[in-house]
Amino acid sequence: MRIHSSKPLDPETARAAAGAVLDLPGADEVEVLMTASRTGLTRYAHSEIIQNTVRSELRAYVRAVVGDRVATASTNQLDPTSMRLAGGRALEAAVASRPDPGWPGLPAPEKVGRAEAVGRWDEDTAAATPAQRARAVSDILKASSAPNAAGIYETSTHSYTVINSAGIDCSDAFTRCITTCLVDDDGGTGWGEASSHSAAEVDVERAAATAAAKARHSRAPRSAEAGVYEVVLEPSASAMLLEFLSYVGFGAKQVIDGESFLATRTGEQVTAGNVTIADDVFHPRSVGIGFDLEGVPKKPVTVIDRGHAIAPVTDLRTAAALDVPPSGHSSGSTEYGPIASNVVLYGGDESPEDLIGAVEDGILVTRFHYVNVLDRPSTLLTGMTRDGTFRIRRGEIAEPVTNFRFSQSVLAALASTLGIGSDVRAVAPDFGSFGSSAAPSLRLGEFHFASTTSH
Amino acid sequence: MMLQVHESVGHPTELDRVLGMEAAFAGTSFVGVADLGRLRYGSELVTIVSDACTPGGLGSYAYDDEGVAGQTVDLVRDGVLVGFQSSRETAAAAGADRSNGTMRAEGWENFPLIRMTNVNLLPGEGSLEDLLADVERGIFMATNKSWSIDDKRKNFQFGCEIAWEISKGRLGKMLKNPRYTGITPAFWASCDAIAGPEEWKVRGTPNCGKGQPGQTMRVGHGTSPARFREVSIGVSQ
Repeated sequence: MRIHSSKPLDPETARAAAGAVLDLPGADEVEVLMTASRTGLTRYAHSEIIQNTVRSELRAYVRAVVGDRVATASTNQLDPTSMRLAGGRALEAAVASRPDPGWPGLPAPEKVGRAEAVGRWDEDTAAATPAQRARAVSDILKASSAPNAAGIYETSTHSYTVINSAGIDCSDAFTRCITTCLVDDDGGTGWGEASSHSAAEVDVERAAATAAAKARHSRAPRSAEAGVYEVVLEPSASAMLLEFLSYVGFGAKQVIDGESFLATRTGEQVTAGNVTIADDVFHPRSVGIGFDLEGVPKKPVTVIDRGHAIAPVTDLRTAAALDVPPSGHSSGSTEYGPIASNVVLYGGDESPEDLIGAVEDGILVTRFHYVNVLDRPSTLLTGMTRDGTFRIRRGEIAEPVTNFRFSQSVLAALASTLGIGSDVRAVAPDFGSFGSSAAPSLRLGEFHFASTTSH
Repeated sequence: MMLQVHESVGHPTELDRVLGMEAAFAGTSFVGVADLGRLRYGSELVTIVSDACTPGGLGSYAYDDEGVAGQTVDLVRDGVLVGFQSSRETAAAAGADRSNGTMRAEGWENFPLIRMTNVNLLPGEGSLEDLLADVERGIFMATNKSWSIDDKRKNFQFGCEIAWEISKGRLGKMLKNPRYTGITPAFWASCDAIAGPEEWKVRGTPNCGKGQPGQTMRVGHGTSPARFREVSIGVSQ
């Protein structure tokens, strides 16, 4: 299948492919979700390129509905014969499936509206070549001046289309550029990163210089005692907590299942009053699409408003169960339920320097590593610090310290928020390509470090 | 035990991590090439192998994706680090004669990376009841549900689905949300019993993640229950 534009799948091609299967004989309703991407990723370690990948992927998911029996089959060929074969397999599976009593039906535009494209598309980023990515890595290595730097420079394009027999027909596409830089300077490590929908906004030299400066300052770290500290989290660290907070509690299925804090604390004050968190794909730092994987328009949802727990994000199924309008956050998985994939913690008016300057004795955290959930309802997480953990003394960054393991409820940490930076930064997900976070630096009054490590 | 082996022995002995190729994403390793044959990884009871030939193992195969035959290689023998999981490139870089055949890709569109095969803790002797019998006061943990380990694979914390108190050699009351934490070499050094072949089973992990772009891989771990002394438990906020 020839691709007619710089987008990995243009809407006309998608519409033609879906047209072959929307009137599938025997099905009451049909939905076609098409995703396509092209990702160029150049990876470097020991200050040299170690891997160059360009990967194009395309997938059409055909969902057939017979009464309340539903099944999906997929294909990576968009010609009419392949699409009809996938439709036939979906239909066969649907007929053989058990009824789904919670099936909400496919969305129709007269009920859910028509989605608006976010349009986070940058033609220069879409057109980036392996040579351009290699030049970016060269710029990173020059700026880091380090014999041992490692990371990635990635440019990618992503297209999504949902068309169904009830009249939904929506397409959107985004580009993304991500760079990361880890510098190891005689055992001291430092981190810098940047991401945006536009490569022009990704300052690779700044990320590299930040990593190099942190690494230099991180050499020969001193041991610090585990315990409760005042902390300043840089945006990478804040975003990690935010991603996990969303994962454990922002979806309506977790609320229905009683696993989310929203199941018991809606309406209560759960964080400090200066904290507002939303899922908002239209925020200028967000990267994503204007509808969910069922074609329902994505609405901004304020989950925590000035400290108060408000509402989860929903998909069609959970919205029907909760008797609320769907917010357009289907993850495509009935098992997982809706997902808040463009989480934003709104910035304050303090600079990162102001936040650090206000700390008498505390810890500056550059980023977290290998975070995992200990208890969902209480939003209790564990994880490690890495690549730039420093003591703050009398408002100044002081000595480097060995890394900590934290064991901390995110909500409890946010309840102790003393300051919010104005430096809201886009952070790409660690795994996969869907979604984004936007988070500022945070000054938190109490953060529990449970143990330390030797580096 | 399988996740304990996976995170604190399997990943740290992947030679690409040891050589720094995964530094920026998943991290490196607390072990270095120079530690081979010298580093005490655990007590003398601890022998761990990388075995691509384990019958029924989710990480079993005949050849890796560089065409090197699957092998059985000692990683830790009698508590001492004696091997790495390697590829043709990394084996040469580390001065080894040949790859031990652990390069695998998730699919045709991915680069092969060093991936665990079946990383197995070899059995000791006795039953689970024998292990419990020598515990005056302790905890029996089962089924990891939460895992986290630092970027050098040293400081770890695992949460389990369930646990029971052990009192005077017998299981007692059930415990909810048990957690334990440790430092890899100290933890394995505290191993003073491993149950025998009758308790040994190969289990699979279908979703081990690694690399950029991310790849998931099916790997296996043969383990039997093991006993560790002086472990820090119940870490919480």
